[in-house]
Amino acid sequence: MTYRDWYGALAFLLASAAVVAGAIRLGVGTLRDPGSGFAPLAFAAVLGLLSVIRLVGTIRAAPYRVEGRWLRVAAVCILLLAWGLAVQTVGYLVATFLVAIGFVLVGGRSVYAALAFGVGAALAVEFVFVRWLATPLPRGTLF
Amino acid sequence: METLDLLAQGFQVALTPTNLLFALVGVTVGTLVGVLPGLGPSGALAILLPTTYQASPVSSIIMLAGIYHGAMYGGSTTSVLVNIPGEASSVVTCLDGYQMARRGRAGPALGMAAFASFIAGTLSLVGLILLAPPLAAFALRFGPTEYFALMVAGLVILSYMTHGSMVKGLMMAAAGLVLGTVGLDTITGRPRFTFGLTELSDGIGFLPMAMGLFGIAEVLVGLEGGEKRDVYTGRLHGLLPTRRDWSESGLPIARGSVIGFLLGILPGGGAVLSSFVSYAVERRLARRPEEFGKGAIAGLAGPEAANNAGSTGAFIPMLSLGIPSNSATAILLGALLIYGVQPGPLLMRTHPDLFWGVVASMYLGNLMLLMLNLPLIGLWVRLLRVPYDYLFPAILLFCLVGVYSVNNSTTEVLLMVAFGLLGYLLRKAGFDPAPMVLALILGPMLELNFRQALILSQGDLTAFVRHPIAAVLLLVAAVLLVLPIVQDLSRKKGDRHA
Repeated sequence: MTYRDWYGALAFLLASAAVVAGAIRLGVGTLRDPGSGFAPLAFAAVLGLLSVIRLVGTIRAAPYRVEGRWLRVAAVCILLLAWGLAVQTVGYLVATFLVAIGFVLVGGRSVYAALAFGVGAALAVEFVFVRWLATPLPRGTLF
Repeated sequence: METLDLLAQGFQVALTPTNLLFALVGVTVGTLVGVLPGLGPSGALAILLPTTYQASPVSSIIMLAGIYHGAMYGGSTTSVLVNIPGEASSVVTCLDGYQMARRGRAGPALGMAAFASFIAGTLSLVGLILLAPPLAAFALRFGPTEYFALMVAGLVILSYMTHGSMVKGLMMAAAGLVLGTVGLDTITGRPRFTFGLTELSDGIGFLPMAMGLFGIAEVLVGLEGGEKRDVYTGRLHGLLPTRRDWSESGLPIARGSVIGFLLGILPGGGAVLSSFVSYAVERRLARRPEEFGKGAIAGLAGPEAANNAGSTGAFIPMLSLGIPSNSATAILLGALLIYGVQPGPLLMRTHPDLFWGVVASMYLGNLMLLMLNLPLIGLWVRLLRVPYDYLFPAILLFCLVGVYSVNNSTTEVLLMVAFGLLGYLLRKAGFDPAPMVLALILGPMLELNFRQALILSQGDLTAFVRHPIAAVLLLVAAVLLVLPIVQDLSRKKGDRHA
């Protein structure tokens, strides 16, 4: 992927502008009696100023390639999100088992290795977190 | 005399069977984390934090401090045996440690690394005992103005010390401050940037953020590594350094301890910078500098001492001022806040058992690490052969279950994943997320002190320069902000003249 340094600076500048707008809506107050929006405005203004400095400093910088195994990273993020979204429905055992299998497959291991790891991971969560540390994890509403 | 009495009480706390067990678990897990590449001390602390919630604050902090120190020790093992640093502060150890291993001296290299770490850890603890109480007593004079200035100086120093562009470091700090304003306004109680989510009323959870930025992001970066680990397969013998090794390492260990301790106190200094500075100093002072990088034991002993002394020195501002100096101590500070303990100058008075218990346990932890590291090196070598394809799923599952179990909140899992992805992208774009985490913790305190100072001074901004301590701290911050610009201008001027 080709990346230019000003992309990041622009993203931070836009974020700071959004915070400034939100802070003004909250009410900035006065120096004697600062309002709820005072600090967010000040911090976002500093962020915005720094982003502009970075933007100006890098606008002419040459683009460069950022290497990454994006598919792998995206797959892992999707699996992480899936665990978070599904755990209350399918329960921690099923969610952990399935997501663990997914992780190992993403790592390039065989299906058998993934299945074995999935079983081991679910058992480890059961014994370490639920039984030993008495963590109240959801058993799920589906089954 | 009073200090010695308090230290004795600390040892009574640390020597209870429960706390000894927590220290042992902490240093063992920490060493394991340090040995295994792909997860640094900050990530390990963030990930393991939820497992301590069932224990008392004293036991929990003892365990977390053990993890932190253990990771410092463990990092040297991979540096020597695999030429891959277990964590950032062990990078320098690779230079001469790995060369020693290639010459068949892996045993003495690992032995000297362990002894240097132990000696430096012990010396820096003496420094901590001597320095922290007077610093805390001095900080009792601080009002909102001084605290605000101290936090500003801390953030600027950390950004200055951050690798790469200072502007990027400051941007991270400012972004962290902005994120710290999410939640209910501490003075008016009004919700800010919560988007109607009750989970955000208490602000952005420190744990999902730290676990995401350090734990998940480090794994995502590690997924791309695909580094081939060429683990040392020779037989390890002669772990005890020879008399000649000691004579060449004695002074480097002493110098490394002092350098590490002093730099560790500074925000951003910590173990990483300490080890690099120590290496540079030793090479400059060496009689045969040409041997550095080819297996000089002084190039291993000094930095190893420095990184352990630095990690102890970093506890001083955290315990005595309530200001963390790096991401790992920021996580420890966050842990204290989660346990309901307010760090700062009053900590020694309100929770002497915690302060002195942690100090004593750090000494015991150093002793445990020395005893653990040498006999268990064979085990660590075997662990190094665990493929990353199995290691990363275990780390990620630990993150998922850990962050969910704190509040049984799906939102916190989603936040952690979002911060994980953000941390990954930030690393790709060359941003160091450490100032962001520090600013998230300091942000609410900084805002509160700033607003209190303004209210007390009736809106008079000159109050910040009329208070001498605040003025000095803000001057330091201003100088550090201007310094890179001046350096840049003088460099350009030099280029024109050349």
